[in-house]
Amino acid sequence: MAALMAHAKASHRHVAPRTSSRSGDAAVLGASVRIRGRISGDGDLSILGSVEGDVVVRGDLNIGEAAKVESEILEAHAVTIAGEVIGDVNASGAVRLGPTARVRGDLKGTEISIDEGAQFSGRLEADFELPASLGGKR
Amino acid sequence: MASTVIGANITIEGEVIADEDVIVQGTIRGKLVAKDGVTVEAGAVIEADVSGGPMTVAGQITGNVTSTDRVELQSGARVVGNVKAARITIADGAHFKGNVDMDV
Repeated sequence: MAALMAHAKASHRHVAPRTSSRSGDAAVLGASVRIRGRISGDGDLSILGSVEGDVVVRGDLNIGEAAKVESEILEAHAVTIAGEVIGDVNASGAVRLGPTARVRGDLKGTEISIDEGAQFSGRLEADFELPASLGGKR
Repeated sequence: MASTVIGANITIEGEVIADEDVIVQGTIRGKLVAKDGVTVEAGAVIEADVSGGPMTVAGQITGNVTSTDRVELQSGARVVGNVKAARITIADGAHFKGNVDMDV
């Protein structure tokens, strides 16, 4: 069975976390990371790798240039997209597609901006009041 | 500096595959496969099999742990599952239930 050797009080060489991980709620999924499944949370999230599955966060969602996200549900506060997204985006804040964004799906948010160069195919839904002269709300 | 941090308020249900260092402060249910180091910080909860390079555990793991290098269970760590690693240290104050396989 198990040979168990406890080097009590082992050297602490490797103990220190390598990054400044104390930035609170921030979560970063690096470029080489692939996730298949559901991601949820209260904090901000940066996706630089590839995600297949739903993403629901209360904070801001940032999708990096090399990132690829395929999901049925993408919910966050502000959403900034520089990479590839297939699926609907439902933001409680602003949605911003950067110049390198490639998005297929519907966008919903309080504000939506699409930079020059971004590729987008889908519907936009931003709640705002049209002036009465233009027929009011839909 | 391109390491992955799964923050304290993040829950991942599913499979996480990483070619780089992973720091877990939040919750993972499913599976975690890393090519490089894995750091499970205090407060983190992993209900998954974990494999990777050198691992430092101060949080909670329920599942089997496999490392190509070393596994360090720090004080406060709570691991229920089997550990397979070339080297292992269990600090005073770490909780561990399971088998250790050092491939002697």
